[in-house]
Amino acid sequence: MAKKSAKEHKDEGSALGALIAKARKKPHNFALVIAKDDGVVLEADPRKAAAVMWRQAKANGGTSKGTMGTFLVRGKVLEFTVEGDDPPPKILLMQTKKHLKDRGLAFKVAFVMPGGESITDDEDDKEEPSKTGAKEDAGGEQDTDAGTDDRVELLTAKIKELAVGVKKLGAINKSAASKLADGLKKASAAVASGKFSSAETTTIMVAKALQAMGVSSGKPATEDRDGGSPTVPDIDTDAMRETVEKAYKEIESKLGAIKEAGETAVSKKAVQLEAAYANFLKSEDFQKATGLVNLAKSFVDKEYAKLEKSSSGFMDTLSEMASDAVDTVKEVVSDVAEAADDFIDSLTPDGRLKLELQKLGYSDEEQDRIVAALETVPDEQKATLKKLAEKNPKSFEAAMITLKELEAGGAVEASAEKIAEGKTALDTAQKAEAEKFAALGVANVALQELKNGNPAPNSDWAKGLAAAEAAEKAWKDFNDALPDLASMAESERNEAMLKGMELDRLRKEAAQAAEEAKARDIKAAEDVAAAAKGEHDTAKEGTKAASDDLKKKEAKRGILDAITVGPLSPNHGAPFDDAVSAKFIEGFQKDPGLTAKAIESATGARHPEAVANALGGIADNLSAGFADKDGKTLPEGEDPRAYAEKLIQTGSYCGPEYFDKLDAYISSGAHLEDSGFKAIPTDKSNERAQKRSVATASAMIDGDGNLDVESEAAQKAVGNLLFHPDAMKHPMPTMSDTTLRTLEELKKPKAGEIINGMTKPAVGGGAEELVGRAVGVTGPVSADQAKTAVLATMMKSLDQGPVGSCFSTAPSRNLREGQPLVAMEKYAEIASTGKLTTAKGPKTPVVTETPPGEDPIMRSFEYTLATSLARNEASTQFKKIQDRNAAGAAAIRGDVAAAMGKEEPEVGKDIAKILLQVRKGFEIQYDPNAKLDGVSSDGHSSQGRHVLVEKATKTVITSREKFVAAVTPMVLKALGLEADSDAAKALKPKIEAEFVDAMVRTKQVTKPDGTTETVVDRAPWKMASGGQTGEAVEQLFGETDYNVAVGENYAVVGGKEVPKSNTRAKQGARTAKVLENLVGTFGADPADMIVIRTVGIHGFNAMPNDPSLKPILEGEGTVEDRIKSTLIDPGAKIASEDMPVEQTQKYYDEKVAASRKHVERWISEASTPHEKQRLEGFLGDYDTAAKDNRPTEGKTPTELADLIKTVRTAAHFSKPDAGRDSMAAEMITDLGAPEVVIADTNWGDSTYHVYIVAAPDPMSGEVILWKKYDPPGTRKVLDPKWIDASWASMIPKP
Amino acid sequence: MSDYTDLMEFSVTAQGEWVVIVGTQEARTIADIISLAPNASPMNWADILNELASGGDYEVIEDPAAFRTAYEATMAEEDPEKGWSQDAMRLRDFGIPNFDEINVPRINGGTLVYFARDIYTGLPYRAEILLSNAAAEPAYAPLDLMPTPEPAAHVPPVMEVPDDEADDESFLGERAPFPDEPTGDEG
Repeated sequence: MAKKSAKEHKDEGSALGALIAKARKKPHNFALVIAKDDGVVLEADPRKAAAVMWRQAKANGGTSKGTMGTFLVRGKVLEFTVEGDDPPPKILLMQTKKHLKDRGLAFKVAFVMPGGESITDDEDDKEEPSKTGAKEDAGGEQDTDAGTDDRVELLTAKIKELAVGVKKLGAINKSAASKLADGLKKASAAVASGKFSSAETTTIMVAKALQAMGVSSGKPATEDRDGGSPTVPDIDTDAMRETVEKAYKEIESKLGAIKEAGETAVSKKAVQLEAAYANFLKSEDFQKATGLVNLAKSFVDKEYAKLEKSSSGFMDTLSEMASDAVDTVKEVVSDVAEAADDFIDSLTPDGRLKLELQKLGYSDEEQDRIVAALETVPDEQKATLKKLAEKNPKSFEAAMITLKELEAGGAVEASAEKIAEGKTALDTAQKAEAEKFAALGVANVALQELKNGNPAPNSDWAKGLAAAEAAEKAWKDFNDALPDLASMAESERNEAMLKGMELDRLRKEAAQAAEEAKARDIKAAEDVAAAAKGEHDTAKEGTKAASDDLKKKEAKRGILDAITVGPLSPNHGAPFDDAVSAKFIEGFQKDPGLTAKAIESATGARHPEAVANALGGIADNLSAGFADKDGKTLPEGEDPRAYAEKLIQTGSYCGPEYFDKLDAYISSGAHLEDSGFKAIPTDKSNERAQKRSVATASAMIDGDGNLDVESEAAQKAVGNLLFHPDAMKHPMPTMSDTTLRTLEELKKPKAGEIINGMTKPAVGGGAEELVGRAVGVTGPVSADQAKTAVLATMMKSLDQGPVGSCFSTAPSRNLREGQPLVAMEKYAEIASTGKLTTAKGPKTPVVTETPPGEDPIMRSFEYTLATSLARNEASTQFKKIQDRNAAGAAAIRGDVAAAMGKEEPEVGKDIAKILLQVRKGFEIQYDPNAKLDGVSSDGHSSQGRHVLVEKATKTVITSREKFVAAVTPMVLKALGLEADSDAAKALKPKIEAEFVDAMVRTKQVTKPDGTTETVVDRAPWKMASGGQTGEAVEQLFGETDYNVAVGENYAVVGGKEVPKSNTRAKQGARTAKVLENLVGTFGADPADMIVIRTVGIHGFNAMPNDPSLKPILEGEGTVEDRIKSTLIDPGAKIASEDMPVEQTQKYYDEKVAASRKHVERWISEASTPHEKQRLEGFLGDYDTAAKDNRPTEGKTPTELADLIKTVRTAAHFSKPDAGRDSMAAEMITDLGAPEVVIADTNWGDSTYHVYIVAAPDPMSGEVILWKKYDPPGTRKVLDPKWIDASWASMIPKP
Repeated sequence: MSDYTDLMEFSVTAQGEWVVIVGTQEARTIADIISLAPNASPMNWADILNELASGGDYEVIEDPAAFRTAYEATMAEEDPEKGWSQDAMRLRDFGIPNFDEINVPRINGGTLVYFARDIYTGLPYRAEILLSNAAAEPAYAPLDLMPTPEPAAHVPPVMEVPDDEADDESFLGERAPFPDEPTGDEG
């Protein structure tokens, strides 16, 4: 076999390069044999067995000289760990290195024996002549990126130029000139061997030396005689040795001290430096020795200082040594120092970076990898990366490697514009694919039609068939028309026979022609279908290519954002801790795209560490197609990547308990079976939640009707709810989280008692109705189904449902979260008996009218509690009216006696009749629309008051007049008086005055002018208003302490009460006050949830034990002090400090791009060309402003918002400042603003929950309240009116 | 001709205290009344004990047929298209009792049984008290209800977190009118 061509070598080199890149990440099994004809054969794969590849390699190489084992690449070394005790033949090592070199790959080769002994090619390096004949430096290699004509030309010119100077020097100082000439010779040789860096170093050294001696290097006066290489003098190597040794002596003692007293790693480094210096000196490589001494100086300076700090006694010694060193330095001749400086200066940019990395403690291999990776990083991000390198070297290094690999197939541009282009390209490709798919369908249908015997209209076949039919008909007609042959003359018979034969021929020909046309048409249709299939395949490939391209761009963007402005960045306000970052970095090396998504999910999430810990495993699962224990993977049609991302998103909310169950579930293969959810595509979110929870709950009831959450069936069902691909198509993080927590509760004996004790609901009753709806059956239900319905309710988060009432949901949620099994008892009572028992009032029949799709048990609990509460509250209010009635009746007792002609002591029964009559004459109702005295601004639940209604006429009593008109006849009727009787006439004025007056309660109010007046406070036409949260707590829990934290903070403007905190500064002060006073009501040992209310707005739950509150509840100073140090001071700092420039630009670019889309939309929606033209002008102005205002340095949040406002103003936005709050909300996480969870709102469903948090507004620095949606952890400013409401907490008495 | 010889009546003293007059005797509590052992009608017993026990939260169902008529009339007035609301008490949210179960007050074996309507919810309760036990109180238990036959037609909107007016996002994409753009106030 002939030797391979250069192109073949090049191609093989590319393939080997790719293999080496992979082998850097993970070990590969390998087989390596000497090839019969050329080089070696290397077979390597991470999964294939080495023995299998050994056979392959032997067959391909034609020999059996070789070895096999495990192959890994570290830096510039290919490390083959071989199997067996026999070392591989030495020739294999040499051949391998040569093989690589011939293919343009400069790597060392090492064979590592099982015992750890290493066989390397170091010795061979020294002996092996290079291709050019020049001797290679030990451990060095050619500048593989150099060798260009330009560099050769430049260096040659420089050497020629210097040669002139050296020549001049020769006239003054022959000895020095001789040494420099030697240097130029070496430089010339280095150019010839492609070692350009070395050549550059030497030329600079020579130039400096000439300069020091006052000789200018000029343009060559003449070319050399032979016009070739310049004539160069020699250089004195003895002088160089002396110089280097002196320099080394200066640091030698310090290096020794570090070696003795430094930390293990540092000491080891000192030993390495010492050894390397000795080797360079031994090999007379004074240039490298000089460089190494300089590196060692940097190292000594850094590590010596540390030792000084760690030991005062040792510091004294070091001080002496340092003093000595200074003296020594003074003795060093100036040209030595210059030579050393020159050496460093002469290094390439990559070389300089390596030095910096060296200072940071990176190994040689790491330096190589990082330098290679940095080639792809935009300049603008290098400053941040340098910071990252200093702060978290490992993160930096791994990220750089990943970027390099991401761009292995070419540069990836990941700007916002390029990503947008990528999305457009994908969209276009998908549309094209859809079109081609449709065309393929049409072609296939057309073909099938033909094959079914149906010709296309007007086709050749159709025409042929028509012609054949006509010919057939003509022949048939002719035959039919023939008279009896006997009656024909012979000539007629002959003529007829000829005619018949002719027609027969024609019909056969026509039939044949039709068949041929059919074949042609089918063939043409097959061609069309094949072409359509080809086009569709091409379009599919286009879609895949566009999708892959976009993924790469997004992955790169994700990585860069994560390490420059994201939570892996030193710029980030709340970076992940090092352990979490390290895990993500490992993830980048496994799957950049998934890792970028994981970081996105983990940022601001409840459990970033859980995501980081699980990422590697999920990436492995993804790479294996989520294969079960038998290797069976997700079926066609399931997108494993989307599945992996959803798992991560859900787990970021649920925490480690979620991920802990994942591997066992995947291994079991349950994810490849039917989920049992019975969902249909049109299901709404609440319907899906109900079906999933029922499917899970039903598996928790065993064959005997007992609760068993640890059975195999139950575990599998729980796994399905948490992980099944059906579940992940619509993830429900809050339901998953609730389920995980509930499982622990359900393992308690009490849970078994409740569930196992449940009975079958009565036939036809409310319980049956609710259970049937919960489990999806009609008619009678079993006890097991009732148990299933209750357990299904326990799987879900109890949130305020549609038409729910906050005052009922708040204590219900409190009960569910704080005493889950007590809540389950309530659910069980509802599902078994159709009744609900509360702490106050009678049992209440359950509400069975619940919204479709909602969990019937949960909603019935919420609604029945609300009803029960409302009933008791109405009772309380009505009894107050009765008390006032009694007072009214007492006030006219004498008048009644007069009217009835009795003595006053005798009218007791009459008074009783009046009171009973009046009570029966009215009823009490709740009016949700009644105007309140205070602020009425509930965001969701209505707020109103009870009103009195006259039963007979349904008149709502809203005034004294209406009450008088209603009550007077009742009193008269009770007494049996006719309305127009004298007695009645005498009594009426007393009813209108004394009776009614006695029912009114008044109060004094202060008017704006400072005077006071008396107003009606309570009366039958003005009953108590307000929310019922406190009453609801009592209804569920019994006697309750009501604690007002702060009163309302409203002013009266124009007759209306408005919040006083109308600036961010006032809101900040008020928030601090509310927070301080609210936590003051929690008590010493608060429950996890305490019901609170903002009067007139909402009833919800505080979370006193949330870890975020701890810095405020505990520590030095007062609560006020701690609020200041925890929230206020950090907020002020964030608002006043510049953000890093990268972060400033990121926000600016995102916001400007988002607003630009609105302008584009205006243009697309323009109704006239004129309007369009004007709007296009706006866009032009916008773009100009965007360009002009783009920040080039860090800005404070407000400065940045102002810039964006300026740009938006250029495009005539109606509110150019809009978006400021939403940007501030985003900044809270990025800038690391502190955040304290105040409350759980009751708002949410099975997919998310909403909390109220206090955090500084990064714009103003003021601490305000935010709504936090979790997941995904985003925030919105809470309407400031909340903070000015009265806040109160309600704590049930023990 | 009734066999009942006693009539219990309420009276209010000048001090505002409620008392039950049985002939010439006064009783202030259920225990007082039971100890007096009046030979009163079940209806009279039910009225008096219900009042003393519930303070007016229930009214005795004296005419079961009228109760049924009123119950069904009320349900008929309720809009089946609307769902449950905290703001309105609706019978159809709970269901329909077995009206045959509801009777006028009766005394059997010394036990008074009467049916009462909760005046706030309108739902029927069964009350029972042993008249020979001076320490007894009427015990009220809700009747079983059958869900309203009509299917739940009302589909409320999915619960949404209140979006505050102060939210500035809603103005993010809004364009200012052109300086010469008509505002609608002119012409």
